[in-house]
Parts: sequence; structure tokens; C-alpha cells
Amino acid sequence: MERTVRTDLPGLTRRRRRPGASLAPYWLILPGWLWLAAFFITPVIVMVSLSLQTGDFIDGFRQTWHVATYADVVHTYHVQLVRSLLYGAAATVCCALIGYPVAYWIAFRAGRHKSVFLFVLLLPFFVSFVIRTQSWNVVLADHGVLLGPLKDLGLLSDGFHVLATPYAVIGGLTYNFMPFMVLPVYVALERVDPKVIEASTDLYASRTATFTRVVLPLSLPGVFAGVLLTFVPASADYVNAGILGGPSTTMIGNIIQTEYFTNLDYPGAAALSFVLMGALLLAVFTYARTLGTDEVLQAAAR
Amino acid sequence: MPQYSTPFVPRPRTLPPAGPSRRGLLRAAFGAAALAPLAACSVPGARVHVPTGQAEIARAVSGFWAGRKRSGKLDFVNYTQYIDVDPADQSRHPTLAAFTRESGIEVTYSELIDDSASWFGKIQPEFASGQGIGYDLMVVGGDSYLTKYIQLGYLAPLDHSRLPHFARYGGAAFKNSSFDPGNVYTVPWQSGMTGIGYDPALVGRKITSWQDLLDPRLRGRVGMWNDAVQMGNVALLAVGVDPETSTPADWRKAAAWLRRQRDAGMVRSYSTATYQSSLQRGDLAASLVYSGDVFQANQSGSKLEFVIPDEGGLLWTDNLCIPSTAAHPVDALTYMDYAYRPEVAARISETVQFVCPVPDAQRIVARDAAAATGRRRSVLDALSTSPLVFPTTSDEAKLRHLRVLDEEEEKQWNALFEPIYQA
Repeated sequence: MERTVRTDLPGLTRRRRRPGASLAPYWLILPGWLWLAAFFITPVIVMVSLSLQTGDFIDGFRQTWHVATYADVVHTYHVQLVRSLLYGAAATVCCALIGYPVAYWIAFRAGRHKSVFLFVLLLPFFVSFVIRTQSWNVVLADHGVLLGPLKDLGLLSDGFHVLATPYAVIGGLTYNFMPFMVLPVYVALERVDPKVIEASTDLYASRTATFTRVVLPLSLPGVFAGVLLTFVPASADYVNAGILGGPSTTMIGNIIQTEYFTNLDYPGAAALSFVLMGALLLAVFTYARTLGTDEVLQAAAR
Repeated sequence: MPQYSTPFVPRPRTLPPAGPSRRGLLRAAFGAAALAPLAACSVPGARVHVPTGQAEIARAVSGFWAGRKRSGKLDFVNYTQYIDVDPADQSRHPTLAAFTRESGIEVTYSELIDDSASWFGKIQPEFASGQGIGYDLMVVGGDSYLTKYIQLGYLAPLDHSRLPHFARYGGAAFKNSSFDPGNVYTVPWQSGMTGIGYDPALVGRKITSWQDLLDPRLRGRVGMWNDAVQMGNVALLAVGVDPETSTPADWRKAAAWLRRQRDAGMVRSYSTATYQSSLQRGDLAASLVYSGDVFQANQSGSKLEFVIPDEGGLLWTDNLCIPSTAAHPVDALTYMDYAYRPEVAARISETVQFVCPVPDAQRIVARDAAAATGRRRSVLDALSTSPLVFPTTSDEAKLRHLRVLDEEEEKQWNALFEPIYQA
């Protein structure tokens, strides 16, 4: 193997630096840190602080380190919390199962029309989130364009319905978060060097073996990113449950919304948000650990 | 079996840390610094003294209005589709244009309010910071949020000496609401009724009572709401209690009624966002509805019925009010009075088709109907005789008002009714 000389490392070459130049990287990263401090760290601190306060809206909330709020909200809303994570996970799996082949097809089979197909994929998402979701109520209506004819043909029983069921909510989540899965997977597949696939076939690998041993491992960083981008917002979503859901499909996002806006119970809402954040982080880390983050991230960095 | 993916990615070796590193210490210091603000930030209370009694209110009124002058501008914020529109151009509002022509006051009209809760959440921080919300006139539902606006001192007390049309034409049934006795801070904008809307073709019979929403033949086809205020008050009617004078014991009975309905699998969904379209499409056979919903749906071809059940229906009122931070309060007051002229109220009713708080407007709508032709005539005819817009006295006798809740009661109320629709 050829040995390259790393000229960018200070130990290997001694270049004269201008005074203050060593600070340059810190100056460059400063905007990033400020952004993080202003829009992530500060809100999180405020949220944690609020979650430990007690009081009511009119008379104000005071810091009392009331940790019991967490126990209360988890006890009261654990059903909705678990349900949200399950719906989010189900939607993520559906997104992966549908989105991967789509991304694969666009990356390898769409030829010079790749950008056209990507654009077509994104086109519906120029319409408002709520309107798109509401439109499913029209498409999937009990006697609508889809179910109506099937019922008339006797293929479905008259009482059959999709709307107002968990399937409708998971379907809505899948639909709404699909691009967040397709795009990162597409980017990963697009970067797969055709020479690698050629080499694989040269070595007498079947098409299946080429896919499972070469293409799939190389695209895993994309899948990893896609899962993060889908699972986290899908679990916290409240629009789909509100518009497509039935009597027992309330998600934790709906509860947080009610706690904050209707009940004006800011500590409760903050504690629930924090619990949700914790649950999502835990789920994501477990997922990363089982998949082997090191390898995924290094493959992504190549 | 050899792994083909691993040779590409050699694992880097990392040295184990030896003792507490500088980075570790730094991290601990940052951690401690981050904890400090947790204790510091709290949300201050905002309760103010609310004037009571004639003399105190009169002092508050004169204190607020002394020295205020008309400025020729008015920023008006409303719910969506809640004022008259020009049939040819939906963005034009004839009564506002006429107001500007007559008074010289330029109106900036916006429809930004979706519901009381999110609007309150949006503007409350602006009120709390004392910077004003940029509006001189807004519409607030007659519910616990109105109570909060008043308790927090966010509303200007109204100078009734400058509201002669309200005094003369405002319907007695709409004045003096329990949320704002004596109309100190608000005057009604539009009212509405909550009752049952149903499709007779799907239900196959007449619905007359709240108990019909427990009929097994309607299982899975009843629409209810994710709105604790309306659900609780409706359920109180269903168990035969007048909401306004109800006690926590009654609330528990009402919640049990709703739970029975839920456990019997009657309800398809609890949603204020979708019940209207679901009812029109036939996904719901019967639902809680506002009176205006059915009138509007039937204008676009549906054949729905609205019924005020025997046990009673709810009459609620959305109100005009002036934020205490308003930059142009005199102009807002001028508009308030203008809205109570029967001609103006009639024009607005002809579009929004909710219950009109100016009974004299009925006469004007009938006159407009006689002058109109074609489809417009039939709409106006229907409107001027509709008990959903101008309730008859026998309907009015069946209507009850929402329960006013104080802070403690509201907590109790929400804890009872929210779990039913948020399961």
C-alpha cells in the first residue's frame, strides 16, 4: 500500500502560522454553536425548568422541583405514549418497505430521468400538510371512489371502513413522511460505485447476493438517516391522528397539544415533551447500537 | 462465512481515557452552569384586579377612554369565513367597505383565528410582555378563554354611551351572557346553537333526543367532538341537567353518559376538524353539529336535518372585544356600534348564516329576498324563515347556556371529559 504524507497535521510539517490562526476553526464553528445554544440548548433548559414548576396559569408557575409531574404524566398517558412509538415504528417500517424499492428504482433504473422522478415524488408535498391529509378522508370515504365500487361488487362487507382506524393513522404517517425515507436512501444508492457491482458479478455473485452483500450494506447509512428522519417526527405527529383517527388512536402529540393549549398546564406539557424526547432518544440509540452505528457512520463518511 | 462489508471499514483504535481529563472537567463545569438557570426561570402570574359593581366599572370605563381619539385606522381579527363577502370577489367585504366610506376609518381585516385555545396560546405571550397584539378588535368565543382574558385584564371595558345601536337593536337573549354580565367587555358578534345534525336517509327515522345517539342501529356512525367545553355541556343536557347550574356531581353523571356511548362503540371519531365533511359524505349518520353547519351543507346540496333535542340544545355566542393594548380603540368601538345596525347585521347573516344577535335583521333579510331573483332569492327566503338563524320563541325556550367555570372547576371538568375523547 502506498503511504501518503499527511501535510495537514501539525506534527508532520512545521509551517509558520500567523498568530491567532489556531483560533480560526473555533471562529468558524461559532455560528453553529450559537445556533445550537439559541435554538436547542436554551429551549431544552426552559422546558426542563418549566416541567419542574407548579402553579396555574393565572397566578403563575413557580419553581418547586416537583419531579412527581413526570410520574403523573407517564402514569396517565403511558398508553398514548407507547401507542405513538408503535405507530411511529410501524410507519417507519412501511416507509422503508415502500421507499427503498422506489429509491432503488430511481437510482439504478430511471436513467437520465432521475431528477424528473424525484421531482414527481416531491410534487404532492408542495401542498399543505393538513390539506393533503384531509384529502385522504375523501379518497378513503366509506362509500368513496375506492371503497364504494368494491362494496358494490360485494368484495367488501358494507360495514368495512379504513378511516377512523389505526391503519388509517399509520397509513397517513407513512404517506406524509415517505420523502424523508426515499431521499436519503436515494442519495446513498446513488453513491454506490457501479464498478463495485461489476466486480461483484465478475466474482460470480448472483443478483440476489450482489444486492444483499454489496448494495444493501452500502446503502445502510441512507436507511439509517431515513429511519431517523421518519421515526422521530412520525412518533410526535398529531395531525394524522386528529384527522384520520378514530376513538382510540390518540397520539402523544395530541395530548401535549391539549395540555398546552386547552389546559394551559405548561409543566405537564413540558414534562410530556421531555419524556417523549427521552423515549425517542432511547429508541434511536437502541436502534443505532443494534445496527452498529460505527460501521454505518464510517461507511457514510467514505 | 466471510463478511464482505467489513474489510472496507477498518475500526479505528481509541485509547482509553486516563483519569479525569481536562475535557471531562470542562464538561462537568458546563453541566453545573446549565443547571443554574433551571431554578431561575419561572412564569409570573398575571391576575389583575377585575372591577366589580357599577361605580367601579364606571370608573374603569372613564379611566380607559379619557382622552382617546379616533385615529382613522382599525385592525380587526376574526375567525375564518365569519363576515359577509362579495359574491363576485371572496376577498371583498361590502359592510367593511361601507363602514370605511361612511366613517373614513380604514379597516385592516384578517381571519387568523382558528379556535379559542390556539389563538389564546398565540397572543398571550404578546399580552404578557405588554407590547400589544397589533389588533384593535377581535372575536372571542364565549368560553373559559373569555373569562381568562377578563381576569388577566387583557380587555378594555366598553363605553356603552357610544354603543346606542347595541342598546337599541341587540337581542335580549344575547345580551348579558353569564361570561360577561352586563356586557362590560364584550358584545355578541354571532351566536350559534349546538344540536344534532343527521342524514334522515341513513338514520331512517326522526332524531328527537340526545338518547338517540345511543341507538345501537347507529353504532360506529356517530360523530362527537374533541372539545371538552361542548362535549361536557351537551352531555349535561343529555342527562337532564341545565349546564349553567350544574354541580360536579352532575358532571360525573354526564361523563358516565359519554363513556357509556363510547364503550358501546357508538362513536366513529371525536373530531371537530372532520365531522362536517364526514356527515356530508355519509361516513357519519349523525353528529354533534353547530346550527350554521347544516344550513351551509344543505345550501351545497346535502339533505341534512338539524334538531334541538327535547332535553335542550346549547346556545353559545362569539363576542367582539377590544384588547386593552389596542392602538385604535375608539375606531373599534365605532365599528362595534356599526355592526348592530340591522342592515349591517342582515348583510353579515346573509353570508355566515349563524344565529343573528340582531332580531330586527330578519325583516331586512326578508326584504332583500323579495328584491332578489333566482337562486339567491331562494337562499335568502330560506334564511329569513330559518329557525337556525332567527330562532323561534319555542326554540329559544329549549336553548341553554354554557357552564361558566372558574380555574379549579375547569381543571376538574377537563379531567373528567378529556379522557373520553383522548383515549
